[in-house]
Amino acid sequence: MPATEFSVLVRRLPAHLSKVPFRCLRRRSYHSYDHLPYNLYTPSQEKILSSALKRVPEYGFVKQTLVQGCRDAGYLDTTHAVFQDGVFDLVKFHLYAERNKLAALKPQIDEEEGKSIGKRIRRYCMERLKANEPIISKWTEAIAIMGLPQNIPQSLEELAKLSDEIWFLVDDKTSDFDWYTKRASLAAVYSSTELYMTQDNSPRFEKTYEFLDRRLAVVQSAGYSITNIASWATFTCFASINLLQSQLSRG
Amino acid sequence: MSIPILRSSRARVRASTLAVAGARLMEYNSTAAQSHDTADASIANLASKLPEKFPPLTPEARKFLSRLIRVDQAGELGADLIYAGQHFVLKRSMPSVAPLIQHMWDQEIRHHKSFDDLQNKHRVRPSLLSPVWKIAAYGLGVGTALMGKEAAMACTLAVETVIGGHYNNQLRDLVRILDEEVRTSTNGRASDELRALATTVSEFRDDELEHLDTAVENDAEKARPYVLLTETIKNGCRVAVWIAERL
Repeated sequence: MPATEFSVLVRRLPAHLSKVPFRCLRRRSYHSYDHLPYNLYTPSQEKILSSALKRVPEYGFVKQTLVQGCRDAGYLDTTHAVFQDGVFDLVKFHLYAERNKLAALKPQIDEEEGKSIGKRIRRYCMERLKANEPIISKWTEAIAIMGLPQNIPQSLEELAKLSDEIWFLVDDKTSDFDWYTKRASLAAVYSSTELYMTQDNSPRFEKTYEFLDRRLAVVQSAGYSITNIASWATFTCFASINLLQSQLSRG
Repeated sequence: MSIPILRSSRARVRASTLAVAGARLMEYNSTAAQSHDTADASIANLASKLPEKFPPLTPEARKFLSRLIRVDQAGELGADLIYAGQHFVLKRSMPSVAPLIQHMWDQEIRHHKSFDDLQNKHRVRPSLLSPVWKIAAYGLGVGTALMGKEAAMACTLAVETVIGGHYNNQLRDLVRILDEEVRTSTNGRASDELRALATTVSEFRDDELEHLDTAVENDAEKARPYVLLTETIKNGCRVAVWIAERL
């Protein structure tokens, strides 16, 4: 990348990063059961992008893949111009499609993993990581694209949505600040494991899954949460008031 | 001096309640009930068996609904803790008032729980500032209760005036969305989900207005300084509502 282009990117970084909270907070909205979901992609876009994804192991995350995807889906080569973000659209579609496939696994996972939230979360992370297996050799390219300043807000939004989806699928009920800490810690675990996976040469990615187990164990054992601290503070406060009262009544 | 202010705000709340939202809501519920009893019952049954879905909600409607759930959840959390704080003080200083506070507190706990359930069900994020709301609300409850029973009641009056009015505004917008849904749907009905939400909101609004009446009956206006106290709390509530909708 030429030096000038790089300096432009760096200069624009604050402007892009300022969109991160907006993306991560505003876009998570009302999930309806009586209404059809709001479709992000038209059927033809979905067709092109999914056939392009099949070509990723061959070409990688490059424009050529999108062109090939259009050709495979029976459209003209130039159709790829409808994807304004270019290859990043392909990356986003992969994230979107694989995230939405998790919900279908819920009955199976509920039955196999029992009631333990930890086990079910581990299973969902594994299933999601398995979906990266076919394209793992090219996934570093996707990570590089996601890390471009203009793409960071949308990439983090997708990560946040994945984390939210997993907590939703394990029937988590949280109504206070823990909602945020839970999602942030799972997102951190998942993204670091995903990065680890790109460098993993072990058979059937055994080391990646071991890494995932270790990271999840750290998060669970820390048991850190604002609510725990708050309830401890409340307890201490009431205890000291009671102590004070009893001391005063003794005179 | 204080009474006209009070009367006018209550009158406003009441008038808009009955005229606009309440009547429309009853209309929806009655048409829904009728449709099962008519001759087309078999068709209605058949339709209800199919997993029929309504067209996707518009981004504006989804934004409105997530804001509604978030702000109401934060509001009920606040109300729950205000009464908790008042009860904590008044059960010691004035045990005769405690059962009254307990009654209102129990209702708020129920409201709080239903909005927690709605928030989890509809995957709306809770307010980012919920720890702040907790501390502020408990502090408000304890503070006003320490000022005496009248101040505690004036606090209830101020909070419930703002909350009742806010619920009413929400209900009016909800009815507008329901109207739109009836107009666009094939069976001339609105979705059960949104109808249930509107019923919940109107039911809770009635409870809040009942608390308002209770506060007036229990000498809320005798609090000194009445206007300063109630107007400060009202404005605080309005600011909190504005923030909780967004954060």
